Amino acid sequence: MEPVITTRWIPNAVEQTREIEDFDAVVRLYWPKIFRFALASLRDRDAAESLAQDCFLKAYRARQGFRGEASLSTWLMQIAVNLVRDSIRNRRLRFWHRTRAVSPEFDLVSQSLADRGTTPEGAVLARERLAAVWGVVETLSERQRTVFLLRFVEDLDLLEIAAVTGLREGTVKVHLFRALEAVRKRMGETQ
Amino acid sequence: MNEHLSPEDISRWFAGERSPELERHAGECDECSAQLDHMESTLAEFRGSAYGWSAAQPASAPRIAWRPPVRHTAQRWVLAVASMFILVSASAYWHSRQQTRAAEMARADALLVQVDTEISRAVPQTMEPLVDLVTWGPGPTDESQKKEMR
Ligand SMILES: [Zn+2]
Repeated sequence: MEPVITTRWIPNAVEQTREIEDFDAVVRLYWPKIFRFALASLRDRDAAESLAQDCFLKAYRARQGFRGEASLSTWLMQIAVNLVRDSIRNRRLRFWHRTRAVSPEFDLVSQSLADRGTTPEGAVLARERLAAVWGVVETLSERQRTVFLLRFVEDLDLLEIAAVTGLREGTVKVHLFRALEAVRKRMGETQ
Repeated sequence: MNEHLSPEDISRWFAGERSPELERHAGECDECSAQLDHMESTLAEFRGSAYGWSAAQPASAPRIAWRPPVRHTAQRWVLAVASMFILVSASAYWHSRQQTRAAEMARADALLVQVDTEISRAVPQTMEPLVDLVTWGPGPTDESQKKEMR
């Protein structure tokens, strides 16, 4: 049993703290990532945009305390994960439960598959698979969903997910396993 | 390991738990390898859909009410310097007004003294020729008066 650990370049603390000085550049660089995670977590564009705003505002206010121990990306994602957790706990927006309709972007995806030479039937099947996966993700617990999205959308490794969520690596694995089991079972039903 | 991967093994595999036995079997067995590929491509499609969905959102851009740190600091400085300038200017203006007023008061006082003197020296026109004969020195002091009285 070996954890999946990808090797990537992590800037040192000095470079990290220097990077945060140009906060406009930080926002430009990391906005898509934070917004994407928020959108996938909340499935509500306005709520996702609002959460991304809050995330960068919090980071901007706390930037003096950023010492570069974690990567800037990890630090921002930590803030975003906490905001997602708070939002879901507060249940004020009821985003995830409100937007149950299949997103129209699945059409874009199946279209792009068709453009890449996939047969129309293959594209339809891919679209159904996607709808099924998104449907399962909707039913996951907040932690399972967060871990699943960080691993399979944001491509973080287990140690990075542990750092972002504050969970132990073993706990991350357990959440990931349960989420994958749910996805696999659902796919078994659709096949 | 000659047994096929169990459904749970597939999930474990993608959760990051891959024993050497699992890896060896997956490398040798087409059936299990195909199952892993299928799951992998599904997860890749999922990732693609999340990216596509996010990128397709109209004008998702930061609209955050902060100012760049440098400009912020510069603005503070400009404000501080402007405030100082206004304070100093006001103070200087007030000070110069005070000085002008003091000078005017001094000039007025001097004028009054002069007028006083002029008035005290004024004599009827008919007596003017006599004025030249009189010395307008200080009057007799009490001491000299006392001396004369002795
Ligand atoms: Zn097999």
